[in-house]
Amino acid sequence: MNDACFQLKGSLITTFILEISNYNLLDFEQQLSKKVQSAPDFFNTSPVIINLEKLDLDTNQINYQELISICRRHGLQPVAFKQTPQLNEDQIKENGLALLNQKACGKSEPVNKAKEKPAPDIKKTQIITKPVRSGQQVYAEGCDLIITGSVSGGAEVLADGNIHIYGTLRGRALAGVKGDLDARIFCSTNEAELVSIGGHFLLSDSLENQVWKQAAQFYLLDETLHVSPL
Amino acid sequence: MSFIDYFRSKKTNSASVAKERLQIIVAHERTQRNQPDYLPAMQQELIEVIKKYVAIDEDKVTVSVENTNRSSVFELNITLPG
Amino acid sequence: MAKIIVVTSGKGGVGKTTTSAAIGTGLALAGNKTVIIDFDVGLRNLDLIMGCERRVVYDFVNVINNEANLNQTLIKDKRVENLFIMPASQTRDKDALTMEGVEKVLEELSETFDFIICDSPAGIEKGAHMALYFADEAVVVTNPEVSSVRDSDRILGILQSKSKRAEQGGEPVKEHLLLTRYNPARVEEGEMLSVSDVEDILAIPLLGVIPESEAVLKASNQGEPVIHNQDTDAGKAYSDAVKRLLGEEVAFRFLDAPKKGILKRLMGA
Repeated sequence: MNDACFQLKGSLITTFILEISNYNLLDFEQQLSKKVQSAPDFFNTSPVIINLEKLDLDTNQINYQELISICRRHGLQPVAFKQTPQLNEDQIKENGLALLNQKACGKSEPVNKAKEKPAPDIKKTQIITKPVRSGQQVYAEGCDLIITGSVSGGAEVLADGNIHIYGTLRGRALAGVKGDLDARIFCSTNEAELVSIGGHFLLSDSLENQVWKQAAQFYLLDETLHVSPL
Repeated sequence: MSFIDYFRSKKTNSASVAKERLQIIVAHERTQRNQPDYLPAMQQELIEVIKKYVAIDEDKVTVSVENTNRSSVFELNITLPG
Repeated sequence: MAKIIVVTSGKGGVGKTTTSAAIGTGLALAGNKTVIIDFDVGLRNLDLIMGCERRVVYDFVNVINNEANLNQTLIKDKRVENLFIMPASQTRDKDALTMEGVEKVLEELSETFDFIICDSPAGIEKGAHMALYFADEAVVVTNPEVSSVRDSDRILGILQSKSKRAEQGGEPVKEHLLLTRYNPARVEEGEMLSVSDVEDILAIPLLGVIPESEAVLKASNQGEPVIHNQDTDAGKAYSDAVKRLLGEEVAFRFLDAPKKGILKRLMGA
């Protein structure tokens, strides 16, 4: 028995769905070209699933090969068609594309301004009014964290956003844990064990020389963690 | 330890009081480790029975088991008042 | 309904049993019917500190397992009216304690007692957890020393999240800080954490400061809780602490190093 050459694994990916409502060849190509040019890097060889649900396929005869080459000409890479009734499945298979059923497609949402990142949900800042004791961990997901008491040694406070500690920081504070490099940490008294922003961290032995036992703020500059007095 | 020694040490030497207490309690617990579980219960019940007939001080009743190679000896000690 | 007070610390050897014995005795001397329960299954100490080690017949586990009832198990203190002791088992281990069993015993004791003092074992495992779970108030015993302070902080976190009151969303457990083995001379020299240092880190109200004292060792040697020895600073400090526990406002004594007068040194502390 030979060693296994490969493994088939399940996965979830996000791609674009090109929902065509009106297949007027000239208009289609023109509009597609315009859209892609508004953000060329964004669409560059992106896998795309074509959805012909909104077309009446009886009256609109689609030349699948043509559709696919138009997409490819403009940098889009069709990988599959969403399975809808009246679809010419043979043609699709001939062109080497897959068929995705309803379940695989999932919900589709229109991408309006593809260039910008989707606006983040404004989540209310998490406020902790009791001291955070040794062994405890607090995680403010998707927002800032405010602690009115102190953070004991051996305790951990994490946030996707900024961290504000009105008491003494003696434990560990990790801000921007999901990669936000602009996150900052503020504390009234710095006696921290460890401070981290977006994965870049400093331990107490380096912190002790800088702004120790005073009000401090921590921020990232050029991928280095800086401390300055508040 | 003579009587006089006892009083003297009580006043100035709490360590000897401690030592005495420990000797008793450790010896007691060592023998207890080898004894069957029912002894405390049995001791209490025996005390209740005896109390029906004679007024005794609970501290003056002791129950213990001694294991030798061939047999076990169960010993019951009651110090009667007066 | 009894008030359940747990004496806990996290760290071992800081003075929990000494404190349980002293506070239990103090409360009983003040006229309250008090019982002290030893939760250290397998390593019992309360009976030794209280001086009743030779009168232990049944223990806490016997009661939980219905092998004995409360009357048979509770040991009446020979010195103080109203004071009873529930010893721990010496032969079993902590698995013998069950949540339901402990709850049942505490409920039964609540019917006749004013105060139930739970002497916790060290650590944060089952025995310590059981001791603090049903508490209304907690006395957190701490030495002015780094490991002790951190462990006390840990146990405070557990009190705030894993007690019955925390789990059921009730009034939080009332926390008290008891600083033991305090040496004011060393504090003045800057060699020991001060009361305010510890208060700063733990952020809970101060119940009392018990000075380091030879009287404590003597007391355990003799099996007589140190609070009986009102000639000593430790004894007096414990009395003050009991008063504060009962709601009285008492000024803190023994916080400053004694002046080095010859006369004072002859008298002894």
